[in-house]
Amino acid sequence: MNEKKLAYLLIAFFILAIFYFIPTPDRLSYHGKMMLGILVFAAFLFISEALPLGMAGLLVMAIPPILGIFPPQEVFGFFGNEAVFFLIGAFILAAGVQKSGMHRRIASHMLRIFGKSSKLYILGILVLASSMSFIISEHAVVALLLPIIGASLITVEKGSNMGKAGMISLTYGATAGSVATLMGGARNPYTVAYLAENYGIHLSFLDWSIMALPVTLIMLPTLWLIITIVHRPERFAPPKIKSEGKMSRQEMVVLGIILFTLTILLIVRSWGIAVAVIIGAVLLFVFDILSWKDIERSMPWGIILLYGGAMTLGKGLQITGASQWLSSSIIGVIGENPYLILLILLIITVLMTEIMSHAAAVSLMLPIGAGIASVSGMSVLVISMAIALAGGFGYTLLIGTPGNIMTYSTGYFKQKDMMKTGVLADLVGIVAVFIMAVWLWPLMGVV
Amino acid sequence: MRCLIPVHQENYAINSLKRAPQLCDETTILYILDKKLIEKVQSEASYILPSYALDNVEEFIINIHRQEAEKIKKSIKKEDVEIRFLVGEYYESVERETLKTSPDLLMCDSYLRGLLNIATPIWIDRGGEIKECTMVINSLKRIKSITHSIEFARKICERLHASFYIHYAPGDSEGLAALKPLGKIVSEVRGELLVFSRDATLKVPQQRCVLLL
Repeated sequence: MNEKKLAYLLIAFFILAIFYFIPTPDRLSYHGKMMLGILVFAAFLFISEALPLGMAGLLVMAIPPILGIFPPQEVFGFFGNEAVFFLIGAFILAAGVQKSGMHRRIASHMLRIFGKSSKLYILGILVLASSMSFIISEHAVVALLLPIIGASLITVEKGSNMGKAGMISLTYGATAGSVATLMGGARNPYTVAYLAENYGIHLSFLDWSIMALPVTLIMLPTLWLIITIVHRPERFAPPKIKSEGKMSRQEMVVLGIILFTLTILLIVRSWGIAVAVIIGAVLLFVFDILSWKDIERSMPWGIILLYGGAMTLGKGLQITGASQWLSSSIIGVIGENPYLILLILLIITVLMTEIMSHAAAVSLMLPIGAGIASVSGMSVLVISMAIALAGGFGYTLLIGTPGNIMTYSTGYFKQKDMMKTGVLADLVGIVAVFIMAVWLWPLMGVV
Repeated sequence: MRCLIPVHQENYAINSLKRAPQLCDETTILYILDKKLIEKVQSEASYILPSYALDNVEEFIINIHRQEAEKIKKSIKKEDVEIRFLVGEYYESVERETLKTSPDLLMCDSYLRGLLNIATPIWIDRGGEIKECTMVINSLKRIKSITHSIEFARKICERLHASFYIHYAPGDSEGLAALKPLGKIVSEVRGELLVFSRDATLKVPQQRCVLLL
């Protein structure tokens, strides 16, 4: 560990020590005070990246027993949640798609359809990346499509507007698509689990998609307009993309398994969200698509361990009453206007997701937002969904999402190019979620 | 003249690359892929990306930059062009390369403070046709020690087929006598000269090139 990171880690513990020694405020228990300390401690670790995010998640789980807030059995029990197994299953399914090469077929097919002009091509990249993010994590989508989109832009000059627009649309498309289903990002199943565990609100795969898909549908054309207006792509002759030929057995099997899994997820509500993806994952072994070695290579343990820390924060704040105390204090300052509260929560979430991982931002904001909703009489579901969706943005900074830094590293655009489009995209995103929360979801009967 | 042109994705020396055939006999392009960037991709993505995807990304990033480096080499239609590709830190790499190869001129497109520690003349190119070269001499007292630099600047100017003017602040008749044989000389008020040279160095204006000796 370098000196800078060590210093950050010491500062994080210093923050925790401050909470330990300050007097406990009225109407808050010692346990609640220390959970708030852990919240700030975690936020600092997530922003400073003093530890890898997975390790930070583990550390957040280890501290409550040390401080006597929860017994170890209880804290580690938070981890035993169906959302964890949904994540594991979803990563295995994504590995199946990658191994079969199905993503290449989908990409070449869509790029051929949209390859009529440069502006259409940008739209094609957006639609391709977002639709793939419906079934694969957004970051993996960028990683898988990067070589394909990169190869298609190889004739484009570095620094040209087409190069900028093409690469930016890849990461923006994946980001926009990731909010639409539970498979797009780890924060989505985390939100479902948080609502179920703390408020008894059970969302199915279909419920989530019905609420979240409109945001993707609003964002896609808007992002296309923003990118093509700001970066005005030059005339571009897309390379002739070869047809992938007949579908291989592997591709057909993987396609069948994905469709089967999605069907169960959409239809059989009583099975929850994890059973179907686990069955899908097992089928990939039954049909010899994946080996155990593939699984070892396909499991990003960092996000799974981060999840443990997130659940500890969420449940810990709720059980100790810290969430309620903090929410009452915030309402005391900003008032009870629901629109203002929603807007402030959205803005803070988007700002946080620009400087830390999406999952980390949502895990920090969800207990606060849901707590505020609960105290002020607003809909916990609406506020939680709004935070989860806003936590999926991060269009402006390179560290906003791993997809941004991956596409930037190809050299097609500079930091300032992404900032120009990103600020607008984040603003539109906030407005889109605000409109959904205030008008559309109530119209759909979400309360 | 042996020129070194560092290329980096945030400091992409397009103007210098265009100027190189006109100015350089031998051109070395130092294509630097930022090591910190690769590390950043690792740190930002490794917690969430499966290892197969992360390996793919790193391999792709290095490949795409290698291809770009080759494309640049081909774009300079001269025989003596060498391309060096390395993964490292920008300033460190440039400094190491200048120490190793001692080029006559380091070419880039914008003023970069970190390059000022390098003991090689720096050409900052903002593009466009150069019709006139302006040399600014703030003090004539050390004229003998800068004669070599003036010769060097004049040589560059000749290669660009531009007229060469030496702007100086009057005051030292001995220094002026030494300056006269070196080019067309223009007397300027000292204060204006200082402002001109400071602005030109700190923020190179569009359509103007600056040679830092």
